[in-house]
Amino acid sequence: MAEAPPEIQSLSYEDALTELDTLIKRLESGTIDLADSIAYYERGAALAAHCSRLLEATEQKVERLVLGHDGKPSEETLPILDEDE
Amino acid sequence: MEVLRVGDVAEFIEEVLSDHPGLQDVWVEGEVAECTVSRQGHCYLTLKDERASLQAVAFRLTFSRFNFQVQPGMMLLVHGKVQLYRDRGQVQLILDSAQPAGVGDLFLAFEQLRKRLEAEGLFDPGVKRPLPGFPRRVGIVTSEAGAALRDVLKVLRRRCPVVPALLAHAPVQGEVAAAALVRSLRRVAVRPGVDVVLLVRGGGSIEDLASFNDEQLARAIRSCPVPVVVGVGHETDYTIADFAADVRAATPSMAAEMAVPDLADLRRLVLERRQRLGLAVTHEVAAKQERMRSARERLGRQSPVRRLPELRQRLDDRQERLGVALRAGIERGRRALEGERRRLEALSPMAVLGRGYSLARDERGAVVMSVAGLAPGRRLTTVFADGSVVGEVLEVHPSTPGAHG
Repeated sequence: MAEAPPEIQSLSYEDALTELDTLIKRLESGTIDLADSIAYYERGAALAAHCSRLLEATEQKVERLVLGHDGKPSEETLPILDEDE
Repeated sequence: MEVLRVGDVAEFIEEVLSDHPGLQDVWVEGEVAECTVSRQGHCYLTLKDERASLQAVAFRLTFSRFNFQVQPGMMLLVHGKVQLYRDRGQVQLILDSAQPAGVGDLFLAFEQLRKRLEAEGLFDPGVKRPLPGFPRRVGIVTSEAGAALRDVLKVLRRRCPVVPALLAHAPVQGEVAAAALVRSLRRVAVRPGVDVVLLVRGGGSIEDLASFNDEQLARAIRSCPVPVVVGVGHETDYTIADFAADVRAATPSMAAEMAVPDLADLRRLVLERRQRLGLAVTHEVAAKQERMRSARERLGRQSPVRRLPELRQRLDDRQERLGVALRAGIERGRRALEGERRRLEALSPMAVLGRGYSLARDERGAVVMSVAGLAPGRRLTTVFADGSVVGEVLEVHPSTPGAHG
């Protein structure tokens, strides 16, 4: 599967999944002609791949909101906290 | 110098206490700071005011007569006697009756605020917003030094490490805490991608939780642009913030559980979609192919070319039948001929020889029909069915008419 189009890459997981569901339902209804169903499939596969990619990261990013001297908020990485497993 | 044993001191104290009538029949008013009920059904209380705190106990029988719920923060007017609990060397009030003495100030303030905000509709189920299934980012408002933050981050990392967290620190107790919580909540909620905010702190006394019983905080929660999950202390602690929350969690960890999905579930979800997508297309293409195949087949049936073999076959068929008929005719003729031949044979005089007859031929080969003309010495050839013999006539006996040979 080729790189997903940028408009898919910018979708949130939920939006991508919702669109994927719609595509699948239409495909399953069997009312789409062959050429369209191939296009539907390709888009669906790209959406599914995008969803999977969103679930791949394993390192959680934790940041802290701080206020600069000008009072403008910005974010900085929070030092890893001690784990008391 | 007299040295006393511990027990002696205890007995001495008991004596002093019991000798003092003012301590054996005493009314005390105080706020309930803590209260626990033992397995045996005794109720242990800590009463306090701004100057001191005092242990008290209502034994099972007395406690069973209480017609109200004892709760921390409540003001009680109790009656009993002061005794020493020897095992612990603790002076305690043994209650024989108790009644609410109005409610404690903090509790009263809490109840008034709760009722006012409730009447305003701030806690209506209808104003609660659903949580996003998969937030892009989770905002956290709590103390960066608290155990609540550690608990929350631990759960987030375990359940869904792909969702980043953004902490907005605020002290969770003390005079400035409420205002700081409000500021942090407002700031973090508008950061890009923050789809849900966790407002959490560990458990504590009713005084410790005061900053979460703040009107401005409740309003800030309701005016927050994204849903707020409030998780304060332990399960039994309800604060004004809990009532105002879009979702109330029993603990900070529970709040984190609610805010993010379990990654394992999500992976399964996507996998299942991928399979369905593949199946849908496979079925679709297969159905299309089947339709095409059947159409081609029907079209094929109409083709004139398709009729050629049929015609050829019909021709073959005729030829075959012709052949069969011809062969049958020949056979019939052959069999008829054979029959004729047999009948012809039956009529042949030679056939008679097979039945035991024989015939005689003379030297010239002529069939001898009569003894007349024969004389001894003549050579005769006797013909049988399977051959012939040659012999000489020895005697001649003409037969008399009527006699058999």
